[in-house]
Amino acid sequence: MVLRLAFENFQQIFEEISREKTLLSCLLVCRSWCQIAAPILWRRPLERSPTYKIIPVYLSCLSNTQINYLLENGVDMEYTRPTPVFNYLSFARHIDNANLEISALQWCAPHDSAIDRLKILKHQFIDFTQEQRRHALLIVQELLKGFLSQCGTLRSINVEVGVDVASSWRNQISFSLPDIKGNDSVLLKLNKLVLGGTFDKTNFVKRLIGKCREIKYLSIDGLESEVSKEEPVALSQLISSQNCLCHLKLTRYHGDLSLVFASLIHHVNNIQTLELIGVNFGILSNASVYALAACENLRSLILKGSFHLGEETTAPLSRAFYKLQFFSIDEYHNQIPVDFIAGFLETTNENLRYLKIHSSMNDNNPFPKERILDTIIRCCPNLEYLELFQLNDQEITSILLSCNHLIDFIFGAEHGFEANAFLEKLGLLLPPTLRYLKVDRYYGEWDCNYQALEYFLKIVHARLECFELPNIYDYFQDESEDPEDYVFVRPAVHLPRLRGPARRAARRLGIPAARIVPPVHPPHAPLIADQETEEEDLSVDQSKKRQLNTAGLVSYYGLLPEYPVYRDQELLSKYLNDF
Amino acid sequence: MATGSTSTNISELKKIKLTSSEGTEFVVDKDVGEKSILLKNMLEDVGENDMAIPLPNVTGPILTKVIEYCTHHRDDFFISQDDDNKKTSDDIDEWDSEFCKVDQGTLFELILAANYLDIKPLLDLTCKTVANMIKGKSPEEIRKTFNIANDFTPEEEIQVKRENEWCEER
Repeated sequence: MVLRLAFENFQQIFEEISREKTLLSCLLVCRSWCQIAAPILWRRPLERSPTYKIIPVYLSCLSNTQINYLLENGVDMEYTRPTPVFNYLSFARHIDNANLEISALQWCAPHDSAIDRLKILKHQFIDFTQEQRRHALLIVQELLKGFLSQCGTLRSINVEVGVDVASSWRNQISFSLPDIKGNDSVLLKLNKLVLGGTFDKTNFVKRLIGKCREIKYLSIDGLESEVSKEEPVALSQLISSQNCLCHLKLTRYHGDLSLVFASLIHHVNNIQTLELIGVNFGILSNASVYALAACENLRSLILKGSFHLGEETTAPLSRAFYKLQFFSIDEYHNQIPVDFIAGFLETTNENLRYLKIHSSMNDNNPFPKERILDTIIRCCPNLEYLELFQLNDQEITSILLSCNHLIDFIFGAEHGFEANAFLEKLGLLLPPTLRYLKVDRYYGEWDCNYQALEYFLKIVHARLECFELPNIYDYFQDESEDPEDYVFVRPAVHLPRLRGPARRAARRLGIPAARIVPPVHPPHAPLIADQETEEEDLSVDQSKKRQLNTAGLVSYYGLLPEYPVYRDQELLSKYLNDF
Repeated sequence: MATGSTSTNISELKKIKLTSSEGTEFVVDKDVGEKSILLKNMLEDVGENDMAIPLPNVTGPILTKVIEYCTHHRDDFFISQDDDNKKTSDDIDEWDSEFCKVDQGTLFELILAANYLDIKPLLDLTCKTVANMIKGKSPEEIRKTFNIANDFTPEEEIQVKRENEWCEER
């Protein structure tokens, strides 16, 4: 029956399988399945992680000339395969140079040295010999030549040299794209280019100009290195020659950004996201700032660690991006430009969904936050993610009353904040949409007792999935302390006694039955949970009760799961995929 | 057989006629039929008339299922997703999941029909369903499920295994 399906139907079925191990099973079913599954499996084999096992297979796909060249240069080819079943090089659509390089280093390490390979897998630097490093570099260069000459079409190239430990040894080595001979169409559909590292990117970029016109995502990370005068010229030419550049990310780039930004004038209708990290706005030409301001379709702007992000330098930008939905500003070099941000927020026309404002502000270095808060309250009613600096109870109240669609709310604690009294109010204020609530430890403590927390749980209507408080989290970081001491000072909430909304809140917080603890203060109080057996799903195994009693606070750790570390990046990735 | 039971006033809807491979005539609402890009293009080419459109590659029972799917999703806006933004095979909604609870033969016939009629969401759904049948299975289990013979020579099998051993731990 299955053989009635056409080749392209199987292809589509296998495209739905993301796990490589399952694709491997398909590949081993029969010859025809093997032919369909192999190109999919080998499309981006090094995207997730390096693996030395792939190197001998790739090497066996090189031409005789290339193999002889490697042999002449002392590369040990003993472990390479005979003629492979497929030309696996031709299947690649995405090249990740960093992982290719780590894989080559792993392979060049003594083949019986499993420990060394494990170290590299864990990104621990091991002392490779100069010879091994040279061989790895030669292998990478030859494989890149192989990809470029044998691939049908490449969709993305990710070259990061010197970014991670394993490749830091050759920071200063020139790195270039091999010449493309006889396969000019290989880069025609390239739509993502990531270039990171301290190497001179001029030649690499020059080789791409004219060969590719479909780059939609461009990311350059300069690692704060010196940049030649030619490099930004080549970059601006590459940008200008693209048909539709949508996403630009520049990180720690010390080249002439005026030139790079000015080239965006060719894409003012296309640019949707700008991510600028460590940009010195003080040296930008007027023309480049106006080119940025002309990108009126911008949906997402991320500014981090900028220099000279003053009111004067940013004035043309503050009223430019009325379609903006995602705005993040994280400044530690300078004061946050209040007028700039307020202007931004007013211009977004209630479109903003994600807002993060982070600064080095503290009690010794305050800034006039009232204007920003007032603008958020007036102009940003549709926010779903809001991350802010220190807030007092009145400010939190005002924000929650005006932003009724929040899913994530993160703020800093003010020194001496009366959290116990405020928790009662907070439970009622949180919009029903809220799932993630975090009081940011960066700014200070937000001290509350468990009784206040228990009351909060009873009245909160939002279906919280995470509620992170800095002080409670800290207790469990310091393992040298005896938790019993804290149990005495802060008696644990007696969850089995919770009723109605609180019990539902506890359930929603994902507290497993085994974590529910009886009261621990006074230490020998009878277990009230014994008397309350009607709560079937909250019942505790009798044998576990005493044991849990002594670890009362641990239950609180489960009660307040930590805010997911990479959630903001995940939200951004999801957001980028949405348009 | 007429389908298309929604709250919309049926008398106001334009109908089209389809003929299955056995010659059975189906009358369907035009908006439902136009979920098929093949039919949509044909209707645009020939203009309005009462002629039934022959579908020699689709049997009556399969056409019934296809019409059921298109009727359920008649108000959906079908968008094409490129390879990088595709939903995974885990995001099948409840109705679609129930719809695909059919025998293997029917499922494959639905794939062929969706392909022929150019109904991308139905093709995606049926392929995802087959993909889910494959997930977590060994090569031998897959062969059993789909009744496939292993035509590798022992040497070939060893070589293919060896060349692809890098993904065993993933």
